[in-house]
Amino acid sequence: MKAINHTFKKDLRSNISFYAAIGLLTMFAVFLSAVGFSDAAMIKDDIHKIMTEQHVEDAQFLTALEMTDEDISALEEKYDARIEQDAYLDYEEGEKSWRIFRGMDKVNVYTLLEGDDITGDNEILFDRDFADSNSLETGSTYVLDGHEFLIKGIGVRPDYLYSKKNDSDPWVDKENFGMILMTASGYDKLRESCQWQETRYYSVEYGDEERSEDFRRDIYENFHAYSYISDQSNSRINTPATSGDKIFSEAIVLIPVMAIVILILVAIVIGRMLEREQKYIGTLAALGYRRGEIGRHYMIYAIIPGIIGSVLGMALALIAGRDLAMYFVIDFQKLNYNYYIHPLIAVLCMVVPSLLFGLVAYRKTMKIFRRNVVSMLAERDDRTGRKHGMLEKSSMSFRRKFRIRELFSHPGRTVLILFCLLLSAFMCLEGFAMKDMVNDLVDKGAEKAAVYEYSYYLNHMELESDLGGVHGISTSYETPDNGASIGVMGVPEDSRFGGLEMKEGSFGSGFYISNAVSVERGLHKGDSIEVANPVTLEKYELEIFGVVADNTQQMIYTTYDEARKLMGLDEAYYNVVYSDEELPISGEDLAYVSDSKSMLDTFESAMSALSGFINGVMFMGVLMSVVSVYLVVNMIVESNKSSISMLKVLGYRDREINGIVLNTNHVLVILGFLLALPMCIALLRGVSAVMVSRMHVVLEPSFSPVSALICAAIIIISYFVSLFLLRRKVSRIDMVVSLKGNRE
Amino acid sequence: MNMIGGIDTLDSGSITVDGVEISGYSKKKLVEYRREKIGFVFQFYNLIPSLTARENIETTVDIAVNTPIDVKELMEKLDITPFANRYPNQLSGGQQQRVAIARAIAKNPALLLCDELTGALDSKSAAEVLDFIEKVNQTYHTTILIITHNEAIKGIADKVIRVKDGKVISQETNTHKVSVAELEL
Repeated sequence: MKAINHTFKKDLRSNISFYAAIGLLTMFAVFLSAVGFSDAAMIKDDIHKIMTEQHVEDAQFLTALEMTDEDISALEEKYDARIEQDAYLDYEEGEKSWRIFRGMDKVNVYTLLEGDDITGDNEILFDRDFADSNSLETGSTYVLDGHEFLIKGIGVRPDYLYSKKNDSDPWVDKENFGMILMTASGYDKLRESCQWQETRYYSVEYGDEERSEDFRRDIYENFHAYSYISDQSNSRINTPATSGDKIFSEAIVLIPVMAIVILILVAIVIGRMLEREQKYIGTLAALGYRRGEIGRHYMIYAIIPGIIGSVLGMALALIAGRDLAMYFVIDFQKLNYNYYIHPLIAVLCMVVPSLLFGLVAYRKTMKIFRRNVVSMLAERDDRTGRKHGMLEKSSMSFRRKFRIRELFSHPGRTVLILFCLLLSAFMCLEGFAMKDMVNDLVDKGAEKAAVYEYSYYLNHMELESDLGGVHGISTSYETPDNGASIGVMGVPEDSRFGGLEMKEGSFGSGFYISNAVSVERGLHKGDSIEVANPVTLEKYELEIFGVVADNTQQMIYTTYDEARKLMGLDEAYYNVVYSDEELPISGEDLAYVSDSKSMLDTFESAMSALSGFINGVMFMGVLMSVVSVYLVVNMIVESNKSSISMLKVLGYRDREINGIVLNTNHVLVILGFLLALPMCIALLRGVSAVMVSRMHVVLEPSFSPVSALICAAIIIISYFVSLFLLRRKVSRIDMVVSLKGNRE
Repeated sequence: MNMIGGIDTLDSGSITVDGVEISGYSKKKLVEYRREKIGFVFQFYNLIPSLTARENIETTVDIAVNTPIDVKELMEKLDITPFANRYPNQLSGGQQQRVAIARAIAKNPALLLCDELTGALDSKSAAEVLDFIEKVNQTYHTTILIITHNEAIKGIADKVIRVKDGKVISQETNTHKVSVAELEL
């Protein structure tokens, strides 16, 4: 065996492009598998760890009666809970705003990510996203409204990993919203010396979640609680807490499918390579080598690219896996993630490709042994004639017939290339379609979410003073089935809200759900929805009179009067002011203001993060197209080597030979693309459904003809790039090949 | 023969074909030379397996520079029509060689190069093929260069050149030319 194993070096040299392509695809499959699962596990574990160790709140609430330290201790003991009053100051300057948190001891305790911990009164920690976006450095001085601070490092609170300024904001604004952590004493001194707006609330972590309802009743009855937001309703906590599981569930569906497709492709290519080795196999058999010995020899032959690909894929996963994971958590504060590849995943990634390739090679070698040795030596497959048989009597040109026969005489190869082209076109189309969907949401979503130019959300119910504009009510309820938050918006009658674009019904008195609610919960006009007051836990069954064409918010729209009735307000209270002009509402009245331009900016910046992922999908599609077409057309070139050589002898120019041999699959490109279109549309509907449950927004399946054309152009260009690369291979085939080898 | 046919290059010396020095031709020019002037017949036929007999012949007609011979007429004259729609692996060695010859001459080349064209055939098939070559020569007046180790074949040639270890050792005109039927193969 030693003697025949010496051929490996020669094989490697002469089949370098095959080895490179197989190695590359294997690397890709291993990288995807290792990184997908490792990233999901890392994100899940590290976010869970920080939330558990730093005691993230299970809920936050406000009470009309202040709770003393004794009250808090009594409640903690009674309900096996940790309770602490949370506080922050908000300061704004131009586009930027800062939130300064008081250091907590029991709940929502910050973690130091970088630098030194804060001890002095003027020492602060910044959040990493804001510090990075604004190039802030540890050790430098930071001045805010005349107050001077020393930046000691980077820290994060477990309840602000998804650091939206307001929970109702659609996405984060890393550049303009900064979070500052201070010691309790430093914070108290700052509060006394500034006029910044302060917010206080209580945070609770339950030891026993089942007792939370009793606790809520207790604080409502004894402390007149008037606001209660559970972690399920708090997207700042809920979104990162569930992200690891979501990535894992996507990885477990997508990655094995992609890895299996790639490994099957590679296995088929190895099979074809061995077909070409039949003369050598025949020679070894004639020399007296046993089948097992030859089979094992070719197993090693195929295992080599498996090992190379696995090692490279694993190395790449170790080097780039952590950075890639950051794309999955791009909206969250960057933690000090502990990236590692699970030993089981590592072993599987290292063993499965090589094992599969080895088994394919062994099986293929055994299959070749079904032919007799003379056939092998003559490189003849006695079934060839049967396979070619078609169009013998047709008057079509021989070039066209050659191409058609190449397609139909090797159905496995044709199906494989069709599948690869289909998959490539599908991935590319998917990327473009998702981009279109996102753009559609940004353009129309921002427009529909902002009926008036400015919406001023007050931090209290206003009755006496008229702040201008038109008045409405906005509040949050819970859906008892899953504890999720749903907004209720009482909009002023005879206002522009009367002209809300409707999907079902027409706007008037009664309750109307947004399309985001309709799609996520499968509710329509005539159905009813149950909501609960998060403070009193009182439940209401609301009949749905229609569906508002709003894809961006989980919202129930109703008239101002109906909202007041639902909330039990006798007088004309309001907490939202709508206006097309900027109003002088600020300071202690204002919770936040939302204007159409900033909403559009926020939508756009959030979607730009998604664009990275989409571009990645498109790149993978193009790569898949180039590599798979290269591999399969390479197979065609290899199996037609002697015919190509003969055509050269006959006086055919390289260009003409390329036209006959390489252009066989043009029709498959078109077919693959046409088949990918309906698949893409079907998947878009699926993506839309996933986005509803994940982000609570509706991405309407939308795909522009321009995108389809660009996508077609990309696939065609990548296809021709592969063919272009193969032209060199065709031109390198020597005329002597046909003189030496052809024995037909 | 490969060098005369322009599929191999020279290390030294020169080759003149039809009064033109071809040894200095570029690769591109050699393609045009083969396309225009040369027809090849090989010992092992070298037909394209996925094309039928007729289609194999059409491969040269398709790129012919000179006025090509009508394929239908050629197949009829050379008795290929009965198996025109069969694939190479459905033909006997003799039939394959006839198709290979038809393919070589279909483009009406100035020079037909035959390399051991009966080397893989039994004596009956060899006689058929040589008879066929003779017919080609008479019908189409093609210059034919046959390279062979079979001494007997020289009987049908007009001129005989002996080569030993790469060197021409004799050149003579065949004054006793015989028909294929008279050869002792």
